[in-house]
Amino acid sequence: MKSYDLIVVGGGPGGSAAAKEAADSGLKTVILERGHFCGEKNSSGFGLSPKAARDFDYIKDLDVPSLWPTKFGAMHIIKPKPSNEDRMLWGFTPPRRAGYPQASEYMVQMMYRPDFDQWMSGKARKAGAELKLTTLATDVIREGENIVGVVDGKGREYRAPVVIAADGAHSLIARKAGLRKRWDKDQVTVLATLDYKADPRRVQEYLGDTNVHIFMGPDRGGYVCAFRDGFHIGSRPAKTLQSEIDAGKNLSTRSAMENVQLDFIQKLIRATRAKPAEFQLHFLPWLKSFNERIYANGLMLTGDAAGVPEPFMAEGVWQAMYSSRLAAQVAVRAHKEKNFSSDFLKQYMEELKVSPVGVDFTSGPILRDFFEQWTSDTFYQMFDNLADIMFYGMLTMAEPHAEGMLRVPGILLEMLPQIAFLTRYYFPIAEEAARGKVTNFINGMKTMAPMLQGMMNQNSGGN
Amino acid sequence: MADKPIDKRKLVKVIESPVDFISVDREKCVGCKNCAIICGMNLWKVRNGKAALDKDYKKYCLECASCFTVCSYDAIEFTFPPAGYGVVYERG
Repeated sequence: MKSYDLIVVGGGPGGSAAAKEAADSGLKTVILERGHFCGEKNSSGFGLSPKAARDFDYIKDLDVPSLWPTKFGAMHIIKPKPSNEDRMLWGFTPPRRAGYPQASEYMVQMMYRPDFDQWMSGKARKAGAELKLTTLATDVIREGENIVGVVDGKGREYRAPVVIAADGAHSLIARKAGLRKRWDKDQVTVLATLDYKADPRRVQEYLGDTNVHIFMGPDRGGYVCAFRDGFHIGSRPAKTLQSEIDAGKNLSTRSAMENVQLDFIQKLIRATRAKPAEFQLHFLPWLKSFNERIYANGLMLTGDAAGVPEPFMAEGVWQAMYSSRLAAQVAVRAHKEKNFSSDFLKQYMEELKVSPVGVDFTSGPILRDFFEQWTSDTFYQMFDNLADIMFYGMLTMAEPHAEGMLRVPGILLEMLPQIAFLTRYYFPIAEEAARGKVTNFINGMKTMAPMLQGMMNQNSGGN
Repeated sequence: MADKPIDKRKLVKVIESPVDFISVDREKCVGCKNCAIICGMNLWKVRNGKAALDKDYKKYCLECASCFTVCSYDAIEFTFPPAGYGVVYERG
């Protein structure tokens, strides 16, 4: 039996962010990872959002072989089936109005998960955390009501007064702790991806600075994201497992396979001499509301185990890092107070709920419905009309320009149903976001209140 | 353009587990086919009204746990292969 101050189950970016924070604060910390290396079990077609650089100082040092910051992206509007041709192509770029510098420099930092996960675990180990590979935590150890450690598949015991379970979507620790049996079918999704290996020079020559391509069209969609020596072909915007069951077919795997036939992707494969290298299924929680069942006596769940991927585009790595670091900070406080009860650890859930991770669940159900509409006919018509305003109205070379300009108001009128459609989603989302801001401010103050009160008592005691 | 169809089974690297890590309770299974619909590796069939797992599932399962999640009758148990076995994503 080995004893620690903190056990972290799972060596993904969440587990390593927690372990680094705890070890930096002086806790004797161990990470238990079931793979031969960190990232062995993870696939996510992965782009790290600029939020990570904003919130984690050490991300500025990030340097791994597959890393490729995405400067530009492209959105291909695909013609209705059975065509595989682009109807039009839209470009996008990091926003000039971003709130912090990194968000104006790149949209995401693209890299393979084994690269990133091992880089993160290096940071945790350098801070002093111990990493145990090929170690699958299968159960919790209880003393009375308290979780006081975990046991691995070989029966070895690891003890600590507090455990952080960052063990992924299908968290065994969450099950054994009784926090949930399984996710509901409408709370999870699967993304299917095909990885292609390609000549790095050709990939860079062909794609240039545009290494994220999103595909949208009536009842279809998907993406390509490129790394230095290959790319992922991904399935359409996620549907929940419930909607796949309702449809009676596996939409995500079919979609990834069909997307290989898109004209743009066929050209990319030929131009870069790419060969299929790996098929991946990425199972992840995709909740519409913030999950509060993420703590117990001596236990906190973080990352996918806690269900933190955001409800719109299902981004999850920054959320895993953020929630895990917060849990580690609470674990440090718990050691100072010698209090590992669920009453004490509840502050992790409360603080996460009012943090940027929790706030992203504002108007979750409406955001989800809106996202699902992106592959509808309405969106297709909206982009078609926008293109006509530009190229049939203003920039036409087919007719006299003044006549073209006269057509613009007519096209705008035709767009009224699409504008009405957008406002149907926009106003409820905006209303709830505005209300959320006030509520979060008040909740934040409530969380702070006991601490402020404590400080005031000390002051009055001193007088 | 005549492409060779993609064979998913050739595109996965799995260290075959020495023990089972998925099981079906034939008493509870009603043959609803949810597991067969959802498996991205096509490892489930429904035979004689009961779910049946491919005999080679330990060579191809990507451990997503979708089958466990979509079973409305609690008939499928899923853990993980022992440490050191199972899927290896090199380009995840």
